Amino acid sequence: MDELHRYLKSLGIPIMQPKIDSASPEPPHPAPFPNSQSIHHPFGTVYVINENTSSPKTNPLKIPGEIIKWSGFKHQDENFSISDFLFVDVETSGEYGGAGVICFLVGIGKVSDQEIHLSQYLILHPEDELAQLIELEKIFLSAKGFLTYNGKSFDLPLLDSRFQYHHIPLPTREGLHIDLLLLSRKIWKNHSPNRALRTMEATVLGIERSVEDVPGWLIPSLFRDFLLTKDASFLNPVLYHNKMDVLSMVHLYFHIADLFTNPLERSKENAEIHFCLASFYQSIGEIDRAIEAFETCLPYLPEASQRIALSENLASLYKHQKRYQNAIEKWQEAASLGSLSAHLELAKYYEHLQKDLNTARRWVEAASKLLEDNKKMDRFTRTKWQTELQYRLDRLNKKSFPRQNERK
Amino acid sequence: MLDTLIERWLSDPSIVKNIVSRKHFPRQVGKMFDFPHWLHRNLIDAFHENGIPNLYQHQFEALQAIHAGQHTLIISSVASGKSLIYQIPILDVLLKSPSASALLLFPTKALAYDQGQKFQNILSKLPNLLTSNPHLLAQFDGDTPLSKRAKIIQNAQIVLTNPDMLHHTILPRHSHWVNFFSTLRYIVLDEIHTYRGVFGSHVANILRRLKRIAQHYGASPQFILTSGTISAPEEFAEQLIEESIVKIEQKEWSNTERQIWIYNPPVLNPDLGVRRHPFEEALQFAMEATQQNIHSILFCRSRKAVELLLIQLREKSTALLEDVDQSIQSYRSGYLPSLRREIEHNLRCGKTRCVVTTNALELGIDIGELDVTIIIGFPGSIASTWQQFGRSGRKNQGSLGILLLTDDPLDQYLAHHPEYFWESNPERVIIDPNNPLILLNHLRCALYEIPISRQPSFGTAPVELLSTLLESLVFQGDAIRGKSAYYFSGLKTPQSFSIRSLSEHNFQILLEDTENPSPTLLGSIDSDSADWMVHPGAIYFHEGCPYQVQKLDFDRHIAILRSENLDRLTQPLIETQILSLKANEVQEYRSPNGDAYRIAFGQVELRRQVKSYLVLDWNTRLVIEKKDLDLPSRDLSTMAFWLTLSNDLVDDLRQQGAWSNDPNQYGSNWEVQKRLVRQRDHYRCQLCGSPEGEQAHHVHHKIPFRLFASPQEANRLENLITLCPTCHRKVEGAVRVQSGLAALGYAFTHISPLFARCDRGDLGVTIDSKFSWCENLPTILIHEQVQGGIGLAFRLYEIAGELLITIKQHIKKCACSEGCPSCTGPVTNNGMGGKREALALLERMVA
Repeated sequence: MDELHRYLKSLGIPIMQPKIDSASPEPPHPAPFPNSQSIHHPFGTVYVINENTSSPKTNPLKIPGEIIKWSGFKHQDENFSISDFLFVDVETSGEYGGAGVICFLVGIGKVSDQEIHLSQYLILHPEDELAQLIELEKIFLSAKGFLTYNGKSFDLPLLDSRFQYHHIPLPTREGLHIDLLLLSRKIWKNHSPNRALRTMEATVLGIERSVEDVPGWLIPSLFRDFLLTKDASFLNPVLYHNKMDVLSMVHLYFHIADLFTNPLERSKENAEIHFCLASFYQSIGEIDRAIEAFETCLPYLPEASQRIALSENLASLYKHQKRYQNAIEKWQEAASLGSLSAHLELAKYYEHLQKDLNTARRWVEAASKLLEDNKKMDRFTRTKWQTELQYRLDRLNKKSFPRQNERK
Repeated sequence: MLDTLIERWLSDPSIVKNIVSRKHFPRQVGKMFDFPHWLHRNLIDAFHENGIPNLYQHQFEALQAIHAGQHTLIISSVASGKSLIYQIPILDVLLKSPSASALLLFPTKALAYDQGQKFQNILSKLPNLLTSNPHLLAQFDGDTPLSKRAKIIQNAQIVLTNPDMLHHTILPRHSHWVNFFSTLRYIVLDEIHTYRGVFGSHVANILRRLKRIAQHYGASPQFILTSGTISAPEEFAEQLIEESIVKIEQKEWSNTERQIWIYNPPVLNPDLGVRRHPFEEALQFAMEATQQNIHSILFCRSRKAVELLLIQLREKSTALLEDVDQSIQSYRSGYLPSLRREIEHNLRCGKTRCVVTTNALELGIDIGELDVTIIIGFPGSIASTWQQFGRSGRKNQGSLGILLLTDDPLDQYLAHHPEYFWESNPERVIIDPNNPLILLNHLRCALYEIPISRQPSFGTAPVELLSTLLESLVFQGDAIRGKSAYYFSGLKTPQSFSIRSLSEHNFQILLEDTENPSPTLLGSIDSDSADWMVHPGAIYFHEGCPYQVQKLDFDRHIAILRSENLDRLTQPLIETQILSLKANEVQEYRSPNGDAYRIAFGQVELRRQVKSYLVLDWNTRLVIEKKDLDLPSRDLSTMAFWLTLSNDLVDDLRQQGAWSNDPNQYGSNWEVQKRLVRQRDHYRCQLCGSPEGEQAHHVHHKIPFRLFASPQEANRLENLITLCPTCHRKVEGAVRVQSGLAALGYAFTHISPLFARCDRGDLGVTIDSKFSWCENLPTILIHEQVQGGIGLAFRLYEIAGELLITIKQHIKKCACSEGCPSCTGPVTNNGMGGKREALALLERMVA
């Protein structure tokens, strides 16, 4: 052994002085945390820290149909209660993706009428992971679905890979999964610098965290410090961080649900959110609601380009609903703001539906004039438009003077 | 057609006289075998449809061994249908149990691509397999776009990749590959002879990790290995995969009749022993073959040589061939993958009839069937030479292989001792999977992948070593102990280290032209070669076209080139120096006559820098100017072992006349004789005819000075001749007098890898008769090539005594008289070897 140690040392491999107890297992785990309850399995111990907080106001438990529809769930008529769902947030021991990374802390939130029940599943050694996963499996299987923040690409795949590592069939596979990050990206499209949960808390929900909090990227090294020192104080900020993540998620969910059930008032401040909501409705096929929300925000849009885009979008929605009169109004609005494509849509409408070739021709000619006056347009786009307009004009001429064409 | 050409060449006296040795390997028609009956019917039909009605003996035997569940090693030459041997069992198992999977490892991405295409070909004949899983087969490596990876990970059942990708990406994320690993039936390792030295030791450890993971998911895959010809392949294969194997060897080239010639270019100047450049011979052979539509492959030793030969070949063939650019092409590393694919395709379909290449085409990439192999300069290993000869040979037809020798001492040795080539065994492949530093790194990875038991096992690594290394990981904070296992506790993913000593970060070569605002990508170059191949001002050749380097950007890893006329070429002047040498341990040895020698081991810092370059005229190859460069140096800080001889020992040898390292004392009449000779020769080089410039030409001893008893005798006018510096260098190469120190150094370099358990390329050597770092004493220094070192030098230090004894016995036993490539180094015909002096030296060092 001494020979081997000498050899390895001369290669520059750090070798500890052999101690008598170096072969003995690690010292027992430190004392559990306040409010915690330990669950022992033959293959390890998991600590569950429970905490109940009250919801600020009474919230309806039914999950709005819009959210269910957006999540792509097949049976949309079914009623879902948020109380059957779990809010899930995990803290990991390292960078995402590798087999050596574990979720040493999993925060689970459940809501009832007026309360939020938080349970944090903590392990103090990687060898306790199986015990933690078995407990999680039980409660996951009892849930109808999951709510996460970025859980589609982080929390749930990570948990799945841990279940798979331990040969446990995935308990997350059946449930419905609502990723609030993806939803927030839809609703607050241009809002604030980013859609990080911390930003959303501060700007949308008005929640502030105490000094106890730590940034997420620091958490793996705090867990490592704990593993190497067994000093539980390294974990306190992690527990706080995880708790706040889960609570914020709950608040954010209710905030979003409220937007669907109690529409915001019409105002300049709310115009943008109305716009995003409208796009959201459009994306899930709720056209009537989309039109309503678009109409709400249209007057507040500051820039002509935005108004053109929105008017054209509205016009096309109306067109699909065969509400041509509304559509014409919107196209005319856009055309008056200088939209070439609105001109063209109008020309097509008069040519195909009204069979009014003269009006159609007038719109094409107006567009040509507009194109001529526009000095800023680049050559490539201009040529494209010229070709398009000429094509339309030729069609109209062919229809108006069929014989002349024959003679030619 | 080839027969007629060979006949013609053999009847041409100017060719025949240069063939120093030739051998004929007759065609041995082996028995053909039906596909084994246990194979799925559809599979047999698919191969029949692909034009493969039956199997060669080695294919049949290998399939039977695999069917019997044995780990199987197939030794065969290139293009002998060995891919069939692993394709068949994989497809058979997929037809019988559709969820099975297989992992195929190739040493390079290019080879994986090539084999993937072949596999796809056969798959297309089995539509049922593809309909049930359209993503069945996939290449997964660094070039696979991120957007495609998820689909491959979820669906692929036949994955073609390389050890690097396995190490960096697949193993550390094995839980993403659960379906794949839990059904893993076969692991194919192709061309295992490339897994040598430090790289091979890494690969062996990656396989240990792979096997652990497969086992974790309940799979116990069977190995199928293929290898080119090496010595003791079974031993090596078993060390690599740590399983007992069955070896199936193909009877040598059974289906091709083969001629091999060793060809020494004719002497131009018999007095001086200078020979014609082998390029000229290569040109002659290749042009005549190409003209007659006989397909040939020309192997050069360097990338630059490939380009220069291509230029000359195309230039001389323009008048003779219609589409020269397509008929004659070059192929080497640094070309874009798309260009390489195109050349491979052109070779397969016969549009390209002659390809000039480096060892990039030595491995089994499919380039169709060729008739003639011309190797320009001995590639340095017997195994490589045979591998390169194996690239030509059509089914049921003849083939010709020509080894063209250069002026190198080793080449010239082969010219005079061709039996050395015929009779030598190919080289062994050496690996050391239990090298503690390599093992430690992989243990850290393994721990990250799956916790390791406190009664550790990892391949065949000794438990005591494993426990100590795991405790070291605990000490470093990368592991913590649990009740029954060690767990990973590091912060960083431990798989970030590279398993090849060459940097993986390539420089992009961009072409700037005035028409196009953004530069286009021409090719790439490995970062170790960038400073000497594409330094600012360098003329760089690509597909036979000259470009001049405008800028070399080390931050962005790019070189910017511009098109250039073919009137100059450049030659970098590379300086290497030792920056520091610090001994960790020293041992002194004494003999009855006083101090003998000392050995030491410690840290060395080496610096390589390209400080300037020469600009040469394209036609005359004369130096036009020398230009300075300001490039960053490349430093290697690593471990070294060195042996220093004492003054007492050298004095003793000197008295015995066994020390020729002292500078020559040319005698009192030397200056006068020199002037007389230059005058007699009209101040012109007597070889190339160039006149003297500002600097005087050299005066050369035709018979080496050392071989005369007195300076007066050596300096007789008839023994002297005027030569320009370039020709002088050429001539000196042909008449080399080797010193005892150099001879010992040579033996050291060749025998140390066996003892350090590594490849020759893993070690570098410096031999200096006045080594300034050791009080100007004669020293042999061997350093590691891996940054930081991995204990190879320390090992040599530990067993130096044994090593010296082995070297002495080895040299003594060798039957040659003055030295040969397998003991103290090759001896040129006009020169003198250092074997006697080396033995005298060793006699005084070890009993």
